[in-house]
Amino acid sequence: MRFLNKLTTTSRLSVQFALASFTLGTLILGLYLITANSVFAVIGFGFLVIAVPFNTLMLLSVFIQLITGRIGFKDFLLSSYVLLLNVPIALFYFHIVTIYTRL
Amino acid sequence: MKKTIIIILGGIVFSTLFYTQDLGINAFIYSLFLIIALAISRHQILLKSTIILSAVGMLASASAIAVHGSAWSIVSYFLSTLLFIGYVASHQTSIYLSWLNGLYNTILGVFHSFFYQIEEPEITTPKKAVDVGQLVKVIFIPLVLVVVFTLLYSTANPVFSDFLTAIDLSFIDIFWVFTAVLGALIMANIQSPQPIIEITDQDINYPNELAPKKLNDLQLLTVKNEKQIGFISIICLNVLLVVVLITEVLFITNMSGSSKASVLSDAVHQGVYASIVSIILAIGVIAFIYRGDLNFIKNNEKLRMLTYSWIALNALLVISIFIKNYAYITDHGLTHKRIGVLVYLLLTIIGLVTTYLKVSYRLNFVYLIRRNMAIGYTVIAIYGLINWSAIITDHNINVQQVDRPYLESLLPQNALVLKDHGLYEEYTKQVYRSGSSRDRYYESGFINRNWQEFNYIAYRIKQDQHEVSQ
Repeated sequence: MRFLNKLTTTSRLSVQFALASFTLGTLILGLYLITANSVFAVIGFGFLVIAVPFNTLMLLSVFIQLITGRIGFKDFLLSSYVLLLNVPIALFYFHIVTIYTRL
Repeated sequence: MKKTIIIILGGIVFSTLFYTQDLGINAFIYSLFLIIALAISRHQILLKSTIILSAVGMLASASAIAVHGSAWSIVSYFLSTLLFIGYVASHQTSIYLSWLNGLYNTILGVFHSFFYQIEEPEITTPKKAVDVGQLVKVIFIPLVLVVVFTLLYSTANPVFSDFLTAIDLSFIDIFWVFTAVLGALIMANIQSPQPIIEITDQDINYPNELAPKKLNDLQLLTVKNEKQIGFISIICLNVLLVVVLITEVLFITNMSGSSKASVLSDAVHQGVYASIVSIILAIGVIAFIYRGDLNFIKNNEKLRMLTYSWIALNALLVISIFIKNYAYITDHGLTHKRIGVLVYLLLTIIGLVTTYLKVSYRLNFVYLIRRNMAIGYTVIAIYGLINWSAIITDHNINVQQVDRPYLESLLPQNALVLKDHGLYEEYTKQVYRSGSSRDRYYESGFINRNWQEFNYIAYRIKQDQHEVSQ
């Protein structure tokens, strides 16, 4: 989306990072649901182990940039919002996997 | 001010209706609130047909949730709500883009002005940085001091300590407040929906019709070559489909009344899966051949006639699958899957008609996507309104094709029909129902609902029990 170019580097990076995490997570879930192969469940868990600290670090970096005055408050809000948006999505996906495994 | 009131009210209404509640009449009330709130911020939404239709779809599917609460009514409700928000953002866009606009506003609506720099961009100066730090200090330092000194005073002064103990804040449910904040955020996002400008403008300005171009000799030669390839390919595909249809006719005429369920099941399901691929491919091939200049060259009537005949043959293939599915239903009763096949066949016929219109009126591929997605959504919306579980149960009991484990799995949507046939008490024992305890139907949990979770079936069962107990 072209409007991302109008954002500051931090906001743009956060949106892209969150979007990439969401896309990859959705892809792994989709493959798991289609193939029912447990390998994808393991890959998904591995992805989570990598994505959680990376997203947390990103969030921390955004917060530090706000405190040090490198970014504005709206930039901080947008960046932290999109990064945190993946938390309920991950929980929802986990719920789907739990239901699917039970079936 | 008006905006703030709507947002706060949105949070309170959301939490009151949905916090720890199942879906029921709350979806309908929230939809009404949404329509009123958006009509306040955008008066013109009451005048646009697409917005009115999507609002009707949203209210109708919300009513279906309150009446029977099937999974499809819930799917239809979410699709309709996103569509409604998307159409309020831009009422002229294609249906798929309206969904995208709806999703964009629901998640990122508050940041729209920030994305498009509609407000003055925030200039980050060191002064602002000090302001934020100062703000943190202004909040945290007094807070820490108040907490520390309150603890000290309460230890030193028993009257003050008793006063503190007397303050009862247990009525505040922190999770209710959290849900209200979430509701307010959703309301803030959607109270004045805005489209994703670049792709919305592109979509609005993209026509359904193909435009003729002036071709040079080389381009003309390429188009003629394409026409030749298309002509031979479609002849071959016509012949192949005729052979397939002959074998279909042979299968149908040899089908005895007592055909084995497994044979019919394979014939229907494999036939459907294969036909899904073949018809989608057929539409794809036609859309590819007629994607541009071939539509406008002279002497393409024969190719057009062949294409129409291929579309007609595909329609015959659909009819043959319908006959097999009908025989399957007659011999072995209705199921959700068999109704799903009928819906698919209906969608396929509509897809073939729109493909015919595309070729006939020289329309483009975007037209196919726009029209077929709109029809697909309409079919899902209408499908979600009907309590199919009740229809299946009633039909199968009437024609004495009862598959008890299957009918048990349809509870609670078929509960009233089972009651009418005097089978409810027996079937709720669920001796055949497999799966974990979460998949089972628990009557007490289903009928004892709050007003927000009102469901007509639950209400009727409870009323019947009340009459029996009196």
